[in-house]
Amino acid sequence: MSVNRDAELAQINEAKVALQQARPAILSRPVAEIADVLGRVGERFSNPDDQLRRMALDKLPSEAKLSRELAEVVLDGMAAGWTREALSILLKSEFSDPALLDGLVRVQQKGHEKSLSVPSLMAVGPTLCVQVSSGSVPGVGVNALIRSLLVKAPTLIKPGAGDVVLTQLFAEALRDADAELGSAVAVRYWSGGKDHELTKQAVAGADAVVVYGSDESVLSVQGMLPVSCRFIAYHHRFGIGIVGREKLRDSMEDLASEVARAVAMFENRGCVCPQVLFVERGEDVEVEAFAHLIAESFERLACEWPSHVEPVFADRESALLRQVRDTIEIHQAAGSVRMLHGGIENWTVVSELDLLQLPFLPGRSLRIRPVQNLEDVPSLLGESCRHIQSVGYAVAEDRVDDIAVLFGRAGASRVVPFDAMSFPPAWWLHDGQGPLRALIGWVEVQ
Amino acid sequence: MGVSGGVDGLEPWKEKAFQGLAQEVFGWQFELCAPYRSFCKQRGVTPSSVSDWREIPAVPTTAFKYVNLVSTPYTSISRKPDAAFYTSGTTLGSEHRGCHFVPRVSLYRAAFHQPFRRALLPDVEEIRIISLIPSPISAPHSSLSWMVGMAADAFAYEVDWLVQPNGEWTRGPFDVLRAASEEEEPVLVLGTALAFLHLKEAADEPSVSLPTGSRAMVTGGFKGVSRAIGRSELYSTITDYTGIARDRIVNEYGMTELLSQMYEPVLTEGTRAAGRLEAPPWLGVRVLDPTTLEDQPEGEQGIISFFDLANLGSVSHVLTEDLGVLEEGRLAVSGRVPGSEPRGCSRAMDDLMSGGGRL
Repeated sequence: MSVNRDAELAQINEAKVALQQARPAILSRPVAEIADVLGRVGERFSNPDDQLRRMALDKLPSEAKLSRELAEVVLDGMAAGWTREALSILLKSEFSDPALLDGLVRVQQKGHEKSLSVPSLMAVGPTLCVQVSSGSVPGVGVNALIRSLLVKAPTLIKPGAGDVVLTQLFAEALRDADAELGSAVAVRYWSGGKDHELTKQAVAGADAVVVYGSDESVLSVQGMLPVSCRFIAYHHRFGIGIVGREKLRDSMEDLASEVARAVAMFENRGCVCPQVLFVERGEDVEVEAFAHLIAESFERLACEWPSHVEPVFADRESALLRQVRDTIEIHQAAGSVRMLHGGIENWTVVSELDLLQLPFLPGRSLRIRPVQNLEDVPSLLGESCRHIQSVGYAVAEDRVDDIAVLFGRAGASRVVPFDAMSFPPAWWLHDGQGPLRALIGWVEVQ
Repeated sequence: MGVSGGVDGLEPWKEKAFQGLAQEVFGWQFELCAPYRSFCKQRGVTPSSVSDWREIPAVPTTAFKYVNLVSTPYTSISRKPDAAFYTSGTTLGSEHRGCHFVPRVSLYRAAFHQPFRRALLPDVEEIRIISLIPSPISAPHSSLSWMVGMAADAFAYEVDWLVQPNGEWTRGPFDVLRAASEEEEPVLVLGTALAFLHLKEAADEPSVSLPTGSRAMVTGGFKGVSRAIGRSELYSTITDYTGIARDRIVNEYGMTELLSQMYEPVLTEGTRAAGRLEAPPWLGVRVLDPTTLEDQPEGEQGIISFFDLANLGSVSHVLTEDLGVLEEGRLAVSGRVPGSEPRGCSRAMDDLMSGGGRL
């Protein structure tokens, strides 16, 4: 074992000891006060005059592989969930009375008037929470950190490779704002994919572990834990879009723009981005015209939100894009797909006329699949539905509930209009779970 | 175009000779491979419109995963192809493995024979082969296993197959290597980069020194595996665990989608040839501007494309996703950069489609 590795292991162990020592202090703080401090720090990332935001925007583009323009939009969207107001709503959404996190609360149980005892309840967060994140979507680490602190759990967090800057800046700003709360967070980065030994050491002794990542990463960490450890997994999922025929009869430009923006946000890397769009056929519906409008929106976005290009990887990305587009061109020659793309820009729109398996489209790309009825989509997707997270929709208002029930029963956990698809609110049911309730255990006194 | 020497059938061809055959092959493939014909027509290219083989449309290697690219006058019912080679599986699952149907393996054998001999056996007629690649009987859909099988048939007086298709050893590799090291006759050790890494892990003591004149062929990279090491570290590993010096280690570059191979001619030219691959005369090699697909000037990096006349039964002009540089007719393949692509929290759609969807 190398000297560096020994030093890293020692640092992780020291951090965990310090975190556990910080717990009594944060347990004694009212949760409303904690939310207030976190919100004040979070709001700094939305303030254009704040040095913290400027530092974040200086470093985000190269780290998260986003252009400066897109990094600003992403930061605005994520930081909207870090305000005092947003965190207050989050607490109230998760707990009928947030004071449940501060101590025992007497609960009136309806229908149990004859009961001799009135139970008291208390929500208890982990004594040590370790969060292992991955990927290059910025802001995931800060969300994770906030959730842990709101349930008063000292937290060691390993952010994703493209999310280190924001997580570290937030933790540092928190220490400046409130040393006591700041001491309950440690941010360490290591390559989770390669360095299993460090991950193993990090999660040892934790009573809650949260993992964001691929199925492989999730399973790998899960295998390191004892049964007594609470394990929360946010494994990779994907987003789809659905468009009802009734939405394609009038002006489609705005809808095309909303869809294109939902795809381009996070450079199509987020589970909240639609990768395939199911469009309902109709007599007077022109799916092809809609595809062209989306392509035009992508073209405009290439100026408004340019893509980040690392010069060292530019040739590699061009080669990969060329592989996929040329393969699709062969299908196009056979008449089974129509492709529109941006040439040197990395956007591609593929309208599929036949049931085909196509290669993964890198960059800002969208597959459009016409369907007879949107209700057929879950059966078309089959077992893949279990991996759906968000369903972006544009359908008549009176269809929304039925569609939501259908997709929800098939596996999706979020059904949302396209213009709200990219940034779920702080209080969303993340992959179908309450983000705070997933972390706590209940104590009842009978 | 590759540069070769000697009188072993690998002498450089005149451009006109390659041109004529390339156009003839294109005419054959245009006629017999319907998806390729449509593709070429869409690009406005037909056999009669082509005056230079470089104008013939290239198909991307990715297309072999999704399109049936076979050029044969026979149907699969009237005469089955001799072989179907699949690319190694990755996270995409078996449905998305590239497939190269080979109507006649005789051409594969012919394309393989002399370049292999020149690169690996310029000084001996026969040799003992120790293969860290599964046998073609155990891995009938691996073009690499077929290749080693052809080498064994043509050049080996004894073969040890040490690896099973699942990557496990058929027997203790160092028992075999140690026994070979006690003989006088040199051996040829063949393996993928990953197989040599596994060999290192299987070592109980790094003391084997194979007989003088032994050599190794290493091929492939680390696609689909979580580990990766640099080329020099890999070669040091081979030297440490087999005793074969750097100037006896030959890198082979090939792919399932091509029936011809390229080699570093270090056995004949020494280590100055390291990292510079030599193509046989029937394999046209180009390095293209990633944006325009025009030929790059000598020495500039670009996307590698091949025109392989041995690919008669599929499509000859193939655009790879590899980057490289051409200098003095030799090809240097740029290393892949593991993890270079930004990754988010979204799964890939095509990854999912193998899970039961019929999208």
